Amino acid sequence: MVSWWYIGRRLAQTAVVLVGITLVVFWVIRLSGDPVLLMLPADASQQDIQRLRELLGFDQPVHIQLWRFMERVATGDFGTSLRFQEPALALVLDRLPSTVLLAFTALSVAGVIGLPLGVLSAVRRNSVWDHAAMAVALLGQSMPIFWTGIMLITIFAVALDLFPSSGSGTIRHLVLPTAALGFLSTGRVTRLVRGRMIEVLGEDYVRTARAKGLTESCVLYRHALRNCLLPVITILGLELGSTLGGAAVTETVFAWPGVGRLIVSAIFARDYPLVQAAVLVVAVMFVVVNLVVDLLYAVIDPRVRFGSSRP
Amino acid sequence: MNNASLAILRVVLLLAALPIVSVLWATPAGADGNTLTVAFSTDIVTLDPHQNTDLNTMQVLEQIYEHLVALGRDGKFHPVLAESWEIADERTWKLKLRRGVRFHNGEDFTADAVKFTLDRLADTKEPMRSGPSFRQNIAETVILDPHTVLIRTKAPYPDLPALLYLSGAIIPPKYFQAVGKEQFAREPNGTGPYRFASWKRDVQVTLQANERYWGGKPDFGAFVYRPIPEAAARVAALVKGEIDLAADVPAERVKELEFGRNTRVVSYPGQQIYIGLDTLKVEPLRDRRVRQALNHAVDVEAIVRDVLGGQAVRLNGPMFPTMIGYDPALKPYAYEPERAKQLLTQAGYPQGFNVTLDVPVGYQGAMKLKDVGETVVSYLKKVGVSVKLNLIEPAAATERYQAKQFQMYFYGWGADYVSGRILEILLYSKTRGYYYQSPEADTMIAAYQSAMNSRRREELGRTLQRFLHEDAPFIFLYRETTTLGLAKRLVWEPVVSDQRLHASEFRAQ
Amino acid sequence: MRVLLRQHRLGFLGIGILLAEASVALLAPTLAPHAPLDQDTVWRLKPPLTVAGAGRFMLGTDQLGRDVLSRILYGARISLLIGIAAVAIAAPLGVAVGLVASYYGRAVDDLMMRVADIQLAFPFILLAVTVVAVLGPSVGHLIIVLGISGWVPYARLSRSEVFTLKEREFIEAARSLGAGDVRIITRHLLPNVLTPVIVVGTFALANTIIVESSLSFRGLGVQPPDPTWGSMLSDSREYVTVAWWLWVFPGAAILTTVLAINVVGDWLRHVLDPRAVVAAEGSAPR
Repeated sequence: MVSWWYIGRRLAQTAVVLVGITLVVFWVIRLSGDPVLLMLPADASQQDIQRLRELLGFDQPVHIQLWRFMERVATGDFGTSLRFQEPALALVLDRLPSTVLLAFTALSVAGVIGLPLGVLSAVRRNSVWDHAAMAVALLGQSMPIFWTGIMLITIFAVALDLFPSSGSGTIRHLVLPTAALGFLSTGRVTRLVRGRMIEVLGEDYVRTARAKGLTESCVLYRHALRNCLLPVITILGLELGSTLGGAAVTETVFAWPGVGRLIVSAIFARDYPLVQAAVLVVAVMFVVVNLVVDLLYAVIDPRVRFGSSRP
Repeated sequence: MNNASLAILRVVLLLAALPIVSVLWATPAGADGNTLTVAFSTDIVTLDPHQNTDLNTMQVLEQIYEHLVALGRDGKFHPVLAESWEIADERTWKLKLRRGVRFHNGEDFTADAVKFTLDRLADTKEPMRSGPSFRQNIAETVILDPHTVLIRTKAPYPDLPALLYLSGAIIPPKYFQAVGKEQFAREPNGTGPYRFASWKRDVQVTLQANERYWGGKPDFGAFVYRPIPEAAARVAALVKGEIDLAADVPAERVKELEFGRNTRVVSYPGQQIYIGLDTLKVEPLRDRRVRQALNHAVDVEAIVRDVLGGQAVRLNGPMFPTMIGYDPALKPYAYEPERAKQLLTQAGYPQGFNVTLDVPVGYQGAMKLKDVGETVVSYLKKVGVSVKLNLIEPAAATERYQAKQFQMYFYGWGADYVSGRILEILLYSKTRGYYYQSPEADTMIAAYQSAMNSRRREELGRTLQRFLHEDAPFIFLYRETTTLGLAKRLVWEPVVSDQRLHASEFRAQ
Repeated sequence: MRVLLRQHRLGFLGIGILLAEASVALLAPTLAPHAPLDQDTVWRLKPPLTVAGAGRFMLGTDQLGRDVLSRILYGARISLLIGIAAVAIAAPLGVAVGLVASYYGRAVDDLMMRVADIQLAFPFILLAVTVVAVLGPSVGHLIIVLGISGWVPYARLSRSEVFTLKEREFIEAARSLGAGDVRIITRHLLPNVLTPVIVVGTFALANTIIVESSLSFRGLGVQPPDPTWGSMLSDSREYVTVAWWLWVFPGAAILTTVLAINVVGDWLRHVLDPRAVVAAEGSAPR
């Protein structure tokens, strides 16, 4: 059993990370520019600008702004979006389900296709299958995702008229964005699994098992696959983490109402409260995924529990 | 199978099941024959018309709320909620209001609503974002009787009808006071042909037809606004028939849509694009001859023809055709690179000079600025002016503009009904004076701004236009032609000088 | 020798392609038939093999009349330069952090790994927007952004090296012999880390080219009129159906390069260090 001490420490560190990222974003976005000018029409006078600045508290020095912000965050108030004039946190949470849907679906696809494909490639190394699988896997990683998205729309939505061109709302709407994201992730997972399987298959204990006369499939499932787990879990965790973080480009191309797109447009509009709320929510998800992965690691690999963190 | 494999299998099945479960969160999209679906590049920002400065948001608000007047197809202002108006004296306008109009919740439209609206816009204690021009110009609104109001301006202000159309959406006082400003921004209530139904952010805004609209029930039972950021996806949606109208169609797709099976295009004048020059801080640009030289050095006709594919109209000066006093006979600068070099030499720059040009990208509706910028750079290079191009995003652009950091910069200005505003904002030293200060221009602009007599205003406008043409505070470029992609079943032609769509004008074949 | 060549034929092919690209990049001024920035809008959007007033346009012209072939040749320079420079910043930074963190262990390690978490959770686009807003857009600043965002995989990798029991034993032994920290880190740990780092670096190079393209998609990439493959691909979005040569050729260039890099990376991993690389392939914007 993993020690409570370990869990406790990790949770405390997680809190530190969240505070850290809030501070960093707070500072960086204030560096990036002034939102007040963007919110007013061109005929606004200097007084109008100054007044709005005071109203929003941006005329205060940064450390005072930071203090006020922390005070409010302690009560769960992330401020009001400058552009939409609605509570920032609510705006972010409203978009969350769509992002989660897309991320999990893409991840499933990556796992369901990538795992078996990787194993197959490793087992039949250097065969036609292997090369074909690797070529496709690499293809997914060789194109910027906006490109993959536009190609998918042009071919499958317009030319072949199989799916809606953009938007959300039904399962059919989900297919193309998932394909775009999934293409990338699946490629990663496949290559990784293949690599790891090849290593594992060359290890001593596998040779021993073969020598003992066990059938190939037994060797495969009982021994080899288990050892594949750790890095695969890591990579799936990382993939989920980054996609939850906002598949912003995919969401933009497919008009998918997710958090990533929200973050990007908020950044371009210098909507400080919204960026802060969104980044924090995403960071929480990311950190939670990381934590789960770490704990899984500790459960699976006894070596890890006694070291300071996973290798 | 052993435990590890079972575990893996379970995980995989769980992963696969999640999306199916999550689909319960989805909202069904609904498109049927009786719905008018339009797609723009951004989602709307707010439903409070007085806090909005975003053009795309305006497209939705324009169906819900109405103004006292509106721009007609003849370029003049027509009665809407105001039945008639007259100029009582230099600073007073008297308006007679339409009877029998109700807001969507049943509240009556009376002079109270007009006073409440204008007071809110002119309020300095809680300034409205779209209010600056009201605060600057409106002195007070007086109710004479339930259907007559007087609007008094601080100084003679001939542009009042334009301002009322630009941002004076009439809001219901009783409703507003009952629900408060936050709720008002979520549940709008206007007099327009469509009622608000729902807004799912980044997905769509849905409006229902107002059965009791005073102008008659609109043809389409529902109006749906969808934000689709990527141009390729917007065009794809139109081609597939998922939407009826696609805004901001890239010039390259126009032909395809023109000859498409179910699509057509309509064009109308869009933004005016200039290159502003810093005539105060950048040495060479202080000299009028240099500025004229720059104008002679750029072949705007070629740019319009080749880079923009003909989707633009050349401008001869800072005023555009719908402005009062615009002189169509004024000739734009001829493309004469030799003359440009001569002027530069006369001004003391035979070898040219170095300068930077800032180009905002991601500008709402202004496509191709990057390409135009690169082309301008190559023209100026030919006369010895070496230009470094800077791509910046709109947020950075606004800031640098205000901080007077630009040397040369692209500027886009939407079709503005308020004639004097652009001149005031860009060139009048008392309000802006960032990049251009000219006492003669100031006098002329001030006179133009306060001329209540329209004939006099025309004359003043012409003189002003000619002066600014000579003084060349900008490199004059063109007015973009905005193209909308339409489904063939839509019967509609745009109002030439208005960028706002009125859904009640659309009919299905 | 023949056996050697056969076994490693893919790897050699990959290296061959990359060397060819590098030389093309270096020799671009000599090889390019036109100046890449020369535009004449009269020749815009001409298909490949057009012969026009200015000469032959082997791969066609773009929306401003510039020769696509020349832009691809020059684009090789900038694209590869950005990739290599970004990795050259990220790798040493990451390795330094990873080695220090794992060597001193416990508190230092926890701190560094939390900083890594913060870096990973921080939205890349915010960093790009801010750097461009504050410092201005330029190739150098772009390289800084890409470099700073990419150090974590190297840190994780170096760290995992040090955590193997073998290494820990050696560290104990060296310490008991009186070797100083710096000496141990630089003379023993660092060389062992180099091989996996090189492998990771090659994959990261491929990734950077893709990331640069996504930055151009947002208007934050390399400034016009300088060509990069990524920005050419991004610019071609509007012309997908109208001028296929605008995206096919830059796309093919990117594809070939990334494929070659990945093949070489795989080969390097196979040859140098089979243990390398779980975490490392970096994240492109999604």
